[in-house]
Amino acid sequence: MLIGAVYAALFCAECASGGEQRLDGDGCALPELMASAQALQARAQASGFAWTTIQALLDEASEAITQGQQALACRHLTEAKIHAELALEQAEYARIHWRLLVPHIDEPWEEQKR
Amino acid sequence: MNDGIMRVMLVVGLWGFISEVSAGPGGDVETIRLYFQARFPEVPLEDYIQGVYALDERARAQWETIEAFPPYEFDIDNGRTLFETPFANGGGYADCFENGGIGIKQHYPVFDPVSGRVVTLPLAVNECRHRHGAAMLAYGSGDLVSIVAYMAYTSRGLATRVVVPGDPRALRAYEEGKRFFYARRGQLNMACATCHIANAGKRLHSDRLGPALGQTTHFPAYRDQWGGLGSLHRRYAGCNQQVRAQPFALQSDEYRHLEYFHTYMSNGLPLNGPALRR
Repeated sequence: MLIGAVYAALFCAECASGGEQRLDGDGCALPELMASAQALQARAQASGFAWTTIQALLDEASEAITQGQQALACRHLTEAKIHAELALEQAEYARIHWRLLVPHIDEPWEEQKR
Repeated sequence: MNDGIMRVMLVVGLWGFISEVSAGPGGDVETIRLYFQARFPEVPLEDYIQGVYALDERARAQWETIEAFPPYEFDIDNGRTLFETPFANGGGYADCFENGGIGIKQHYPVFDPVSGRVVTLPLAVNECRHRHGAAMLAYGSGDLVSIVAYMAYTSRGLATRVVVPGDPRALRAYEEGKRFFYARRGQLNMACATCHIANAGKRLHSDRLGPALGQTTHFPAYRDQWGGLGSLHRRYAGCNQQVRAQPFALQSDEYRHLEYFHTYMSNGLPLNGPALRR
């Protein structure tokens, strides 16, 4: 989460540079960012691999908007999007590679016991 | 080559040979037993029903002392009272189950060919209530868990006998449960198998991780952390939350299918629930 927060703070493309200065929201496009984050969360949930952090960040963003802290909301939403994208990547990885954690043996149980 | 080196090589080898061919339910049981036999050769198969206490002697001694006066005893008594109390329509739980509901938990979850669903015992109890016009009960804790605890108690000592029939819907449910068990999820990127297969017996903070084998035999469980009795699905949800994965609803398809696979892995092991766990 810390890495995500740092990433969001440094490279928040949708906030553009100097997100803190854009408290009026110009350039941050909060409604669009919220909609895209919510859409990604819906996809993550549908995949069955949603993280608890995503909804928490969306809730924090909503709270920040209520308090007029658009830049903070922008950071939370950007981080929520990153988490949702990672969850979707995780779902795809699991779809292909879930067997990697299955222990496998070549000999039957009775033979191994001998 | 000494035994220690051989053992390490065997365990490493078990993880090295990954096959694309599914072993099927029977092969899965054999594989998991062999895996734990290689990891913990000193632990007899039947001891896995004790969960983590099969692997931790000191914790086991403390646990056995507490089990002498089990904190879930009142729940069993309460469950029995609830089980034997007729519904408003005069019917009872015994009408809904084979053998009057006594000594049957070892067969659950069962695949119901009529509905095409996997039915767990708590779900069957609630559906029984629904058929008799009674309100459904919550799945995580409370009266329903007490009823299931009593039913589990009547199955103590009976070997787990979950069946996965040839019906493609049953096999699909089993496979989905298996995938769930082995799939990494949550922000911590951990699967059920990460803790309870690969790292079973190792410490995570102050706790030792229990082996997957035998885990289902002792539920419902009284957990110190809960301060009471709770269901297996409540534990699943808790595990998911611990790895920061969004949990599913108790008795959802996901958790019922997981329970189907998870319980099938313990086929042949006797039930010993309810039991005390940290």
